[in-house]
Amino acid sequence: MTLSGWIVLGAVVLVVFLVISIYNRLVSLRNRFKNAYSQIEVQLKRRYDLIPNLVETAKGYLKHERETLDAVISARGGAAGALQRATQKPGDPEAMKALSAAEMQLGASLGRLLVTVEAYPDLKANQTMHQLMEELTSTENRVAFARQAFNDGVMEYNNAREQFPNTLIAGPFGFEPASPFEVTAPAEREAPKVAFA
Amino acid sequence: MDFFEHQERARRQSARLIAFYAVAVALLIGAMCLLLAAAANIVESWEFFRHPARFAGADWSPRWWRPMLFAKVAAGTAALLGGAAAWKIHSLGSGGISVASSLGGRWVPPETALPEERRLLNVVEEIAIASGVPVPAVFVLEGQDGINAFAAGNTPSDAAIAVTAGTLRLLDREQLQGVIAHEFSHILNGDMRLSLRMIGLLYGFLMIANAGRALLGGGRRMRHPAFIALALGLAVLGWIGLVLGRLVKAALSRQREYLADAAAVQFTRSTGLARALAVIGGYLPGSRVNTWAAEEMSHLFFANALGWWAGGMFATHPPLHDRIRRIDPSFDGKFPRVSLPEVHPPPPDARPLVPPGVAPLASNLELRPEDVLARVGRPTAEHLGYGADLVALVDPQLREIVREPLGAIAVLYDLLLHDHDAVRARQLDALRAHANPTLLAEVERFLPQVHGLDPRARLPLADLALPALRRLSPRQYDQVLGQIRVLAETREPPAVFAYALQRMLRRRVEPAVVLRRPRATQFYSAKPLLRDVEVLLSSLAHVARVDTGLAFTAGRAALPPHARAIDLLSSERCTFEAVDRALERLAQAGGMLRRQFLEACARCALANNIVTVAEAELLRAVAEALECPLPPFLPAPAAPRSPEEAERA
Repeated sequence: MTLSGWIVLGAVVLVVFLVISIYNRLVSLRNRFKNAYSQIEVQLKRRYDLIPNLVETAKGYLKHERETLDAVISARGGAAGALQRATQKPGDPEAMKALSAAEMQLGASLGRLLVTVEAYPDLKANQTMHQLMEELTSTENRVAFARQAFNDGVMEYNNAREQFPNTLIAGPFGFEPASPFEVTAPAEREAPKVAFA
Repeated sequence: MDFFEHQERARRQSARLIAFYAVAVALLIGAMCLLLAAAANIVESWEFFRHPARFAGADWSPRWWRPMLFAKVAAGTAALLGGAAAWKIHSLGSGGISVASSLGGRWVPPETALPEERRLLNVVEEIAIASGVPVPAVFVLEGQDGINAFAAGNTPSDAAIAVTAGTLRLLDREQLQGVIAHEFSHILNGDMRLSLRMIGLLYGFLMIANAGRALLGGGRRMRHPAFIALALGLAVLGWIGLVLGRLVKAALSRQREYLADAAAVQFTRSTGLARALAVIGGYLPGSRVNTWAAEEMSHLFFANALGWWAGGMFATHPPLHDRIRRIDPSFDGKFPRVSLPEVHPPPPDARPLVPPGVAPLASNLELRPEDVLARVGRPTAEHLGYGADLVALVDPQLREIVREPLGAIAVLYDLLLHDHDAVRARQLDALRAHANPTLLAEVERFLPQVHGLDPRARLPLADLALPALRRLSPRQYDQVLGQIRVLAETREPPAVFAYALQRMLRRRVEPAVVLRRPRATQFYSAKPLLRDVEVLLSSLAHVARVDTGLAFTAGRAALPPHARAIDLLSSERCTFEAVDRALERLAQAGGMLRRQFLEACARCALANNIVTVAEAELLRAVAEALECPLPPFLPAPAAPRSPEEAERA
C-alpha cells in the first residue's frame, strides 16, 4: 500500500472509532434519563395507590361532596393510564405531554378535595386522614425531586444529541429528541400547601 | 493471604496473561507474514502465467523473504490488535453498570417493593456493609431461567452485581447469600479488572477472524485467488488465536472460581453456596444465559453460562461436582431434581441472617491491629452478622426512607446537624440559603429519628443512603456536595464524620454520577509521601485525644524503616484541609505502599486499645481515600460520644 493509502486507512479507522464513541455516549446518556424516569414512576405509583385510601377515608365524612370525590378518582385513573403509556416510552414528547396534563388535572382535583376537607373539622382531625395527607406531601416532594433529576438527564441527552458532530449520528441511529416532564399548573404545586397551612 | 496480596496476585496473573498474549501476537504476526508472502507469490505467479511475454523469458520462482512487506504486516497487525484491545478495554472500563446493562440487565431500584428483589437487595447490602465495600448497583437479567450471576466493574466503587431471574425464583435466602458472597469475592480479589483485560485482548483476535470472514463474503469483484487465500488465511489465523486465547482465559478463570468459592464459604460459613451449586446441577436449564455477549463475558459469571459445548479445556468454570466437593467433602454426587413450578415461594424477608455463635453487638470484636488489617477486603462470618446487626440498629422506617434520593439526602443532612439547638439553628439558617423548602421540610421531618440513633449506626446509615445518591443528576450532585460543605463548615466545632462523609461521597457516588475514571498509580516509593504520612498519623493521634504521643509512635513503628523520619505535628497543623491534601496524594501510591500506610493508621488508632467513634470515622475516611475496603470494626461497650470528644479533629 502507498503512503496515501495508509493515511486514508488511518482516517477511516479514526472516523469509525469516533462514531462508536459518540454512539456509546448517547446510549449511556439515554439510559441515564430512563433510569431517572423509573424514579418518578415509583413515586407516582405510590401516590396513585394512596389516593383511593384517601378518598375511602374521606367518603364517610363527605356525603354531600360526591362530585369532588368522583373527580379525584377519575383524574387518578387518567393519570395512572398516562403513566403506563409514558413508562413504555420515557421521554417521548407526546407521552410526556399527556402525563403532564393528566398530572395537572389530578393535582387540581386533589386541591379542590383538600380545600373541601378544610370545611370538615372532624375529618381534618381524623388520624388516618392525617397520616395519608402526610404521606401524600412526602411523596409529592419526592416526585418533585425525581423530576428534577429526570429533566436534568433529558437536557444533558438533548444537548449531547444536538451538538456537532453528534447530530450527524443521532438521526440515523434512532436517537430521538426527549421531552422533559414539566408540571406548570400552580394548582398542583400549591395543593399540598393548602392542606398543611 | 490478605486483600492486598490477592490484589497483587491478580495483578501478577494479569502480567503473565499479557506475556502469554505477547507470545501469541508474535506467532500470529509470523503467520500473517507467511500468509501475505504466499498471497503475493500467488499474485505474481498469476501475472506470470497470464502475461508471460511481459516477463521476457525470465523464470519465475516464489520469493518468501520480503522485508518491506513483513514490516508493513507486522505494523498493521500489531496496530489492529492493540487498537482493538485498547478500545474494548476502554469502552468496558466505563464501569460495571455499563457492562451489566449491555448484557441486558434491568437495574433494580433501591426502593423496589417486590419481595424477591427486596430480598436480593437486602442480601447485597448486608454483605457490602460487612465487607466495607460500597453497595454495588444491582441488576436482574430478565427472561433468563438459568441460575447465574456476575459481578463487573473496574474497582469496588463502580462495581455492579447482576443475577438472573431464575436465581431469584429458585434459590432460598441462604443459597442466594452464597452466590452473592462468591461475586463479592471476585470484587475483593481484583478479578474484575483481570477479566476486563482478558475480554479486551481476546477481542483483537476476534476482530481478525471477523475481518477474514467479512472478506470471504465480500463482493463479486473480490474473486482473485490471492484474495480468497488471504481471507481464508485471516479467518483461520484469527480463529486459531481465538481458540488459544480461550484456553488461557478458561484456565485462569477456573482457578479464580475455586478461589472465589473458598472465600465465599469462609465468609458466610454456611452451606448456602454448596446447596446453590447443587440446585444448578439438578435444574434442567442449569446455569445457561442466553445473550449474545454471554460468550464474550462467560468468565464473569457465577457458573458456566454457555452450553454443553463449552466444556473440558474450554470451560471457564470447573465442573459443579468438583466445586461442591471442594467446599463440601460430604457431597454424595447426586443432584436433587429441581424445576420452576415446584418451587415453593421464597419465605418473606424477615430476619437478617445471623450465623449461630456470633457475638452480639454489645460484645467486643477482638481488636488487634494485625487483625484489622487482615480483615481489609476479607470479611468474616462475624462481620456478616455484625453488618446485619448494624443494619438492624437503624430502624426499618429510616432504612426505607434512605432508599430514594430525597430521603437519603435529608437523612445525611440530619446526620451532619449538631445536637445542640443553637448550633443546629445556625446550620439550618445557612442551609436555607442554599436548599429549596421541600428538602428542608424533609430534613426537619426525619431529624428526631436520626438523632435518636446509636452513634455507631451513623456510618452504616450513611452506607445505606449512598446508593440512592448515585441516581442524582450531575447538577443535583453538585448542589448536594455544596450543601454538605455548608453544613460541615457551619458546624462548630467541626465533626470528623462530616469529613468522612465527603470522602465517601467522592469515592462511592461521584464515579457513578460524573463517570470519572480511576486514577493511575503515581508513587512507588514512600519517600515523596513522608510529609503526607506525617500529617495523617498526627491527625489520627490527635483525634485519639489520649496518649497522643504513644499513638503516633505506634503508627510510625509500622512504617518501613526508611519512612520513619517523621515527627508528631502540633494539633493546629492537623486541619481537615491538610489531611485532605495528604490523602489525595497518598491515594496515588501503589498497592503495597497503601497497605503499609493503612497499617500504620490502624496501629495508630488502636494504640491504646480503644477506638472512639471519631477515630473509626477518620480511619474510614482514610480507607475510603486509599480504596481499601475496611470492614466495620467498632469497640463496645458503645463509646458514647461526649460532645467535646466527638468533635475533636
